[in-house]
Amino acid sequence: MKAIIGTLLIITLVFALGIAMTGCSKAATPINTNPAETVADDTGTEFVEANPDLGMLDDSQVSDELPQ
Amino acid sequence: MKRLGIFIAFVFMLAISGMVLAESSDTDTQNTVKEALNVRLEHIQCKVDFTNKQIGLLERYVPDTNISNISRISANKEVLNNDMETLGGYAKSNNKTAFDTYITQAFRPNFQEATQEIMNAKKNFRKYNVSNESRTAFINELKNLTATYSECISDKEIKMGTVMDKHLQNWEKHWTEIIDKMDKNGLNTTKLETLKAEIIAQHDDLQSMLESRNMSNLRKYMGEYRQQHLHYAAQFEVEKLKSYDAKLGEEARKNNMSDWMDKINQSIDKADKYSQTGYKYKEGDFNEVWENIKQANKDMKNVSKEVLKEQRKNAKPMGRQDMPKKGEGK
Repeated sequence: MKAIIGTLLIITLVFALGIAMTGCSKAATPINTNPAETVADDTGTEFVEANPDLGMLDDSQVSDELPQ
Repeated sequence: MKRLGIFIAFVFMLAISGMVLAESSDTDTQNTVKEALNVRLEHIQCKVDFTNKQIGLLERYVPDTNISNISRISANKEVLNNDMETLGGYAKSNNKTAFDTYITQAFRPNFQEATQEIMNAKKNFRKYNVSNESRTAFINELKNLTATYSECISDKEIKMGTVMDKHLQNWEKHWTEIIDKMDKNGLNTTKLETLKAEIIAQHDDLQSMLESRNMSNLRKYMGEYRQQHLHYAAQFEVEKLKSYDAKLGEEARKNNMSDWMDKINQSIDKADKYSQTGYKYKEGDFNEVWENIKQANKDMKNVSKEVLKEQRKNAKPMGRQDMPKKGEGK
C-alpha cells in the first residue's frame, strides 16, 4: 500500500515539475525595451493566420406544414 | 539495474507529457473551425433527409404523375444528394470558403426550389384524389418525420454551441498569452483586457444556455454571438496593432520606413471601419477585415525586422580610430 502511495506521489510530483518548468521558462523571457524587438517578439502572428469565423448553421426554411 | 532504467525513462516521459500539457497549441483554432464545418454539414443533412423523406412520402401517396407532377419533385432528391456530396468534400478538406460559397450559390437555391415544390404539392393535396384514409396515414407519417427532424436539428444546435464554447475557450487562452507577453514588453494592454472581459462574459452566457439546454435562447443568440465574437476578435487585433504602432512607429520613421507604416495604418483603418460593435457583417465583410488584419500584422513584423537590421548596421563595432585616446574620458 505504502509503495503504491509513494509511486503515485512521485508521479504527481514529476508531472507538476514538468508543468512548473514550462512556466518558469516562459516567466524568464526577458523584457524588450527595444520597440523593434518588442514587435518582432509578437506571439500573435501565427494565431492571426487562423480566421476566427466558425460560420453559421444554415437558416434555409424547410416545408413542415401538413397537407390541406 | 534494468528496473531502475525503466523507472527513470517512465519519470522522464511523465515530465515531458507535463510540459506538453502546459504548452498551448496554435492548431486549436483551426480544429474548432473544422469541427464547426462538420456540424454545419450534419445540420444541413438533417434538412436534406427531412426533405427527401417527404418527397418519398409524396411518391408513395400521390402516385399519379400526370396530375401531381411528382416526377419533377422527385428529381430534387438527386440534386440535393449531389449537393451534400460536394459539401462533404469541402468539409473533409477543411475548405470553409468553398463550403460557404457553395451553400450560397448552389445549395440554397436548390433547396428552396425543392421546398417550394413540396409546399405546392401539399397545398394541392386534395386535387390529387387521395382517399381520406391515405391522407390521414400521410399526415401521421409526416408528423413522425417532423419529430425526428426536430430532434436532429436540436442535436446539431447543441453540438454547434459546444464547438463555439471550445472556440471561445481557445481564444481566451491565446488572448491571455498575447496580453501577458505585451505586458512584459511594456505595451499598453488596457483595451485588450476590456475585450477579454467581454468575451469571457459572452462565453459565460453561452455556457449557461448549454447547461440548461435552453434551446430557444441558444437558437436566438448563436448568430448574435458569432457577430459579437467577430467584432471582439477584430477589435483585439486592431488594438494590438495600434499598440505596436505606438511603440514602433517613431523608430520606423526615423529609419525612413514612413511609407511602410502608412500602409500598415491604412490596413488598420480598413479593418477598424467594420470592427465596431453593432455593425452586422454582410457576406464577405469579415474576410476583408481579417485580410487587412493579417496584412497589417505581416507588414508590422517585417518593419520590426528591417528596423532591427538598420539598428545592427548602425551599431558598428568600435575601430582603432574610435577608441578613446590615453588620458581622454577621465
